[in-house]
Amino acid sequence: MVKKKTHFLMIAFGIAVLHSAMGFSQESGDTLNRKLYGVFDGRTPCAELAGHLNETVTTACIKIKWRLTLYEGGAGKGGSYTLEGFVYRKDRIGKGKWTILTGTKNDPAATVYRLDSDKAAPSLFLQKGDENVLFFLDNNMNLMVGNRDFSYALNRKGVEN
Amino acid sequence: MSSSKLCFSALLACCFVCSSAVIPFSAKPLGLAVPSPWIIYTGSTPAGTFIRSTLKLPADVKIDFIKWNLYLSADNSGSGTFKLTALYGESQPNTNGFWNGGTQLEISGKCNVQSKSWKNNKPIMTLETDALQSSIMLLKLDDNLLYFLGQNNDLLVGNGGFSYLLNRVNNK
Repeated sequence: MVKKKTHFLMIAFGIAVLHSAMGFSQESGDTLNRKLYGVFDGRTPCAELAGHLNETVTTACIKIKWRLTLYEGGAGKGGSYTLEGFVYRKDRIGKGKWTILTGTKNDPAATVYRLDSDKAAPSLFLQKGDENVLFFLDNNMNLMVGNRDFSYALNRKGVEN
Repeated sequence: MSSSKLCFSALLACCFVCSSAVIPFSAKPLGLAVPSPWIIYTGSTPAGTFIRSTLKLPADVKIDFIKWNLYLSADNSGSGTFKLTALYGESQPNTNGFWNGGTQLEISGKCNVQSKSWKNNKPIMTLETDALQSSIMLLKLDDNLLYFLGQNNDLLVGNGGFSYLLNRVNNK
């Protein structure tokens, strides 16, 4: 009797967890099917990007630690992304689509990744340095200038040299 | 019954992995005096093998990162002289500094800019002095940003904490 009850509880728990996982949902399924393009990490100064994202800036916010994960959606067409760091954490992880643009104010040949959030957040623009390095652009599509401690760059995880 | 246990364990493991989060931390910024008429770039970079070798830094010393100040006195072509300070050492937790203030290297020499020498015709700045194992090559992304190049003029790749980028202090 006890054995049957335990078995029942385990199955019920399993169903509940699976249901919860599927509810958080499509994303999980998508993640399994999506092809990873790259994970990029970096630390940037806080204030300018926080302001750009319409988030409250406090004096305590000196820097932001970012993790951007890009998934391919098709050859040369961008795809989907997740963005972690700053206010984007736990149940607020940033998600959306990224597309590829060409040209900035100072470099007509530059490759630019545009990140459009699923939520009503402003787009982010990153210039591709090469396959391993991305640079943040401001609203005028200029490269952003950091300080002595932090720069506006993201580095592909796992290829540091 | 054993398959149920296996399923249960797998589900628990998945829950544990999914609960990981980014850990924030705070730090104190450092000031920097700006002597004119030098053009000044500054930044903090990793201390990877290539950079350590270029600066002739000892291999057995723990170096978490390097804080750079680059002073350029150049004509319109970008050629001229440079002074460089590289402060390095083991990072002091919860600060942007080093244990015991770190160790500072100071060098000076000649700088040259070769235009249209990198992909997309971007210029490369070369810092030359006998004090280095080899010249420091910096990609001029624009007037405000310089990026360290490695062997074969590839962009050096940083990590989650630091990038190989120098930022102009007196922005143009």
